[in-house]
Amino acid sequence: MRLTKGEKIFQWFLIVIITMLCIVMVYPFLHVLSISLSTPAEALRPGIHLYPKEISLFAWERVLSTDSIWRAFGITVFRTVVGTLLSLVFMSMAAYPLSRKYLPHRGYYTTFIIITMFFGGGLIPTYLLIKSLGLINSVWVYIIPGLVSTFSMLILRNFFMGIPMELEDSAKIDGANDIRILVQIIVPLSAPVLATLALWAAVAHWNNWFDAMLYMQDKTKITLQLLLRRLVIANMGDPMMPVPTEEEDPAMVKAAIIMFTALPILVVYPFLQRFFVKGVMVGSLKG
Amino acid sequence: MNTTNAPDIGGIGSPHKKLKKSSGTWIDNVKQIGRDYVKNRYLLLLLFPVLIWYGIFAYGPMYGVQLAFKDFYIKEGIWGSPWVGLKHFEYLFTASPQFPQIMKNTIIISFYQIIFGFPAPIILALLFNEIRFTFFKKVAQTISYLPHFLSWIVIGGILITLLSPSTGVVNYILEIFGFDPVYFLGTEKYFRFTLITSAIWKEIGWGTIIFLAALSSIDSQMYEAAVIDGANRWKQTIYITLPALMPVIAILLILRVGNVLDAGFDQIFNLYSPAVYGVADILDTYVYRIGLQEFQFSLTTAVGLFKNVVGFMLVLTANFIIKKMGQEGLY
Amino acid sequence: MKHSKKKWTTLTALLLSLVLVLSACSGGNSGGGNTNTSEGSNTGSKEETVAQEEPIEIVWANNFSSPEADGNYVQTEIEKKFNVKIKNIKLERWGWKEQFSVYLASDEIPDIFPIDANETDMATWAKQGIIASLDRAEIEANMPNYAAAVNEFDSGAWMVGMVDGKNWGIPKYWPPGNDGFIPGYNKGWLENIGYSEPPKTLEEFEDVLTKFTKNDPDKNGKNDTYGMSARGKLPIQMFTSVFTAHAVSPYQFKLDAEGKVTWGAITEETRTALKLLNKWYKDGLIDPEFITNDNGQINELFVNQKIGVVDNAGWVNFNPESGYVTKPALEAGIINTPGKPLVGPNGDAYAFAYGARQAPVLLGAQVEKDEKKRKKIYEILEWAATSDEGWLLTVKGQEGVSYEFDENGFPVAKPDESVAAPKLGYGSFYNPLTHIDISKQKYNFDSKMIELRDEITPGIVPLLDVLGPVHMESKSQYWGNLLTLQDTYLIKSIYGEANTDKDFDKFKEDWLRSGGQAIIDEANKIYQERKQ
Repeated sequence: MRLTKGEKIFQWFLIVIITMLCIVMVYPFLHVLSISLSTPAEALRPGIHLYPKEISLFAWERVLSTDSIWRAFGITVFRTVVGTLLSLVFMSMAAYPLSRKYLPHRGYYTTFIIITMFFGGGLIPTYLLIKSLGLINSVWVYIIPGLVSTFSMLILRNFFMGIPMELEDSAKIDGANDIRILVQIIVPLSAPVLATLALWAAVAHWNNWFDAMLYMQDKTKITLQLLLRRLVIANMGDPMMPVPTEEEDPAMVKAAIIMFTALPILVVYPFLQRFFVKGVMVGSLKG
Repeated sequence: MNTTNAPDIGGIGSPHKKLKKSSGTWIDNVKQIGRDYVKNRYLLLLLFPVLIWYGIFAYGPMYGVQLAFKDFYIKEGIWGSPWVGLKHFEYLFTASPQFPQIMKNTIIISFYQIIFGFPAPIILALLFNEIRFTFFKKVAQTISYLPHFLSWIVIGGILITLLSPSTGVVNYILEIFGFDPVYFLGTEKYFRFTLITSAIWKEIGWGTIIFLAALSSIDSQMYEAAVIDGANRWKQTIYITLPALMPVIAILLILRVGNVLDAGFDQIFNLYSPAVYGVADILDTYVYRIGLQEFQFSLTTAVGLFKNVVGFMLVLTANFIIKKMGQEGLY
Repeated sequence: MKHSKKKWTTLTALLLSLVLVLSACSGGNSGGGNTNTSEGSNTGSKEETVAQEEPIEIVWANNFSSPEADGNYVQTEIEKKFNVKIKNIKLERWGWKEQFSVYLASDEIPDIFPIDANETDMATWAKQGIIASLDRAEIEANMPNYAAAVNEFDSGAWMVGMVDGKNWGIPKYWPPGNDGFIPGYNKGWLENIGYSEPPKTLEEFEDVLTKFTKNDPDKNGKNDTYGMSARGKLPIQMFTSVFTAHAVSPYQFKLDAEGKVTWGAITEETRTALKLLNKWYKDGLIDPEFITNDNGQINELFVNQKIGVVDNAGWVNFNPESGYVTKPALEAGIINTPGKPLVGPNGDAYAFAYGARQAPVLLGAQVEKDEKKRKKIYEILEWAATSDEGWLLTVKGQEGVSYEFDENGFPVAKPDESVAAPKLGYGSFYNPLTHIDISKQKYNFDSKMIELRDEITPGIVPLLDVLGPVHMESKSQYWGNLLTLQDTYLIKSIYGEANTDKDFDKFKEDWLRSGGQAIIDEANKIYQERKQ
């Protein structure tokens, strides 16, 4: 494509602006990473930290040798992987029937589901429910109560609605039932949107701490984010013990924990992005 | 793809027109429904487990709403606790020393987020759309999504480091330019600014995706025709690009306005401190404190119900207004 | 249309009934679930109790030194000795209250409540009917040694548990709470600015802070130090040395000139102290980050030579093993040297102290009706608090494994991680009353610590709340909001977003208007009643 002179200037202007934006996006992570690898004195130095002047692995050694961190990591990986997969299965199971116009009482079923986007029962009844189902202190509490995200499910339904009926009809002539059609035809065609929803679900799982805080009294089964919160943000004291007794983690250890929690997602998402960009596009705009 | 069609997210207002027209008797109708159900048994087999899940996990706890009109006594349980009418609402709206300030904070923070946070990704999407170097564009987009994936706990930890008045890099740069150090997270004057800015920083890149998707579907012939008519880039943006984005903008705005009482619990909860409660305490943080720390579950439920009802009405209103303006609404 | 409307209504009715049925189920289940769990955990111990009575199950909740696993060493020892079955509710040291609140709200009431419950919680739970009211005479009869220890140390501790004329727990206090906060200084810095010993008066203190800030006390050639920081995350511990020099803590009740009870934050003394702090802040003597600092940051600033004073530590923090400031500082070659409370403009010198009294140990309401269980709990607590055997087991663990006696008979903990408190279950999880029997102090402090105490504490007068913890009707209604109001104003006035003239008046007025007046009235009533 040929550009005029004015357009060229405009292009350079854009590049400068966007580059600055990218720096603003990336710098904080470099800063924290650099601090996590610094000596204590260097970690407290004011100013820009792009890379550690003198590398100290103290913080990372400490983080990587802490059992509770690895345990929380394992629990978090479990909930992310299993939770995401089960979510996709369940959401597909609902989205497909609701996308078929000939489903009897389709409007009512849809309404039944949408109402839940606006009204909920509140903390205590939810806790009572979870307790009566025996989910307290079970890792399944991370997965089952949040199995379906209504918003994601509706996006999936909208996508399914856009898949041409002809494919389905010909399969039906061949004697396939709806379940086989969903598994063998609809799901493979929906890979991009499913990948997007999977990413949403996975990010939500990875980042969630509230359910762990409320429902998990067993310290050995808490999630990484809750552990991070306890270590980094909420180290507030209380009046019971007037004098402090415990040793606090120094700044670079905190930085290392932050990076440890952030890295898995940062490493994974660039590879998934071609799916989710496409998925958002098709999922949200299909009528 | 037809971009003028809004996503058909809702089912309200479109009850099944597909069933047989109501011509026969009542019994005929039941028979017809029965036949429909048998015919679609596999679809229903798929759907019902999910409906049961909704019944249990979404509707199951809804009976708890009655707590808003009761004084909760643990020993009596939710059903057995005594009714107190509108006591908790009366307390909130007339007696509570905090509630007015908390409502004000919630609405102010939310409005700032809509006014500044909502247009930001649209502008960035327009900028991305103008870039001609595909590789650069792709890399830049990828980088801009980055903060979206991290929790506010992680970002809170990072912000505390970056914004520190003594060792933080932001104040270091401010000082180079001759400004006094500013305590962004600790002073009322700057806290809301910090909230809005950090929220934009986190979500701006991610927010562009949906607009870029809409942009990519604009018929290029429209631009070509515009160029022939002598329209420059600015005019093309105003007359072609923005109108094409309007349906998407409308829907996202409805969703956002419906959530106006959600000012971002995760963010504020992980960033605030007693020094800024005056400007930062919102409905959700208040609910958290009085419910989980002060044991006032009835009051908490009342606040939650109030929030739900207001949110629901706001969505319906926004939907109505947007329909009036000639855009496709949500429901 | 007509028909579809009908269908609509039938369907709605169906859905509604479904919802009702489901919710009824979940509502009903919660009651049933309770009995299930207790049955379930009873079955485990059946074999060993052939001839014996069924063991009593005790649901034991605590948020201190929660053991990692059920069936830990201390737990099994107690179970064997008392023929009980303990069900642990292991809560987090921080943020326990969130978990515990929902746990209680689901009608799971433990038999023994967490240590950190305060008198406001106690009153709330008493009114909810979930804690037991306990007869003082019965406690005294069943826990004779314990009651004697309480009456010897502070018989007033019995008053804390009173709500609506009844006693709601087993009195508890914590004598170290009477030891006040004293300022600690970077010894090297003091020498570098020409002080051979810590400052004694507020004026000297100001001079030290100024020189710490401006005279490059660490001799690194850079102007990168502050005098001090503070714990803005927990404002009750913030700048205590400055407030106490004015004979006030903003977070305590005190007597005014006319002998009436008033709240520290709204007194003129607080205004004067704030004025001074604001001046120091403006002069750059105070680390501006104090607003959000917690002990972790303070520790780090001191150790890395950014600040030279820490004033929220007690005498125990000056022992070389103290994780807060002293030990990490020593490792960095810095000596944290203790000072004395500063003498203020009126000649007052106090050390801010929380006071020893605390909310009592609370028992679940079901214990009130179950005499056997109640007596059993009394028996266990008496044994844990006052017998050497019980105390050493619950607090120090297993002799020869987690601790060993030295030549003076002091139990020295072993540093081995595999026998640490969370593994074996010792600490204070199974003993909420570690500090009641003063004679057990010989196990808490070795001779070195006692030496340190005798060196630092003589002559220090603690500044105590004139009421101590006590239930007030008005407090449970207004307190949360008032504290927020106060935290915010204090911090703002120090860094200057609010002034100490008009804004202080306005704060005082707001505070009194938002329930503070009622609280002060009630406080005076209680004070008068106690006097009689």
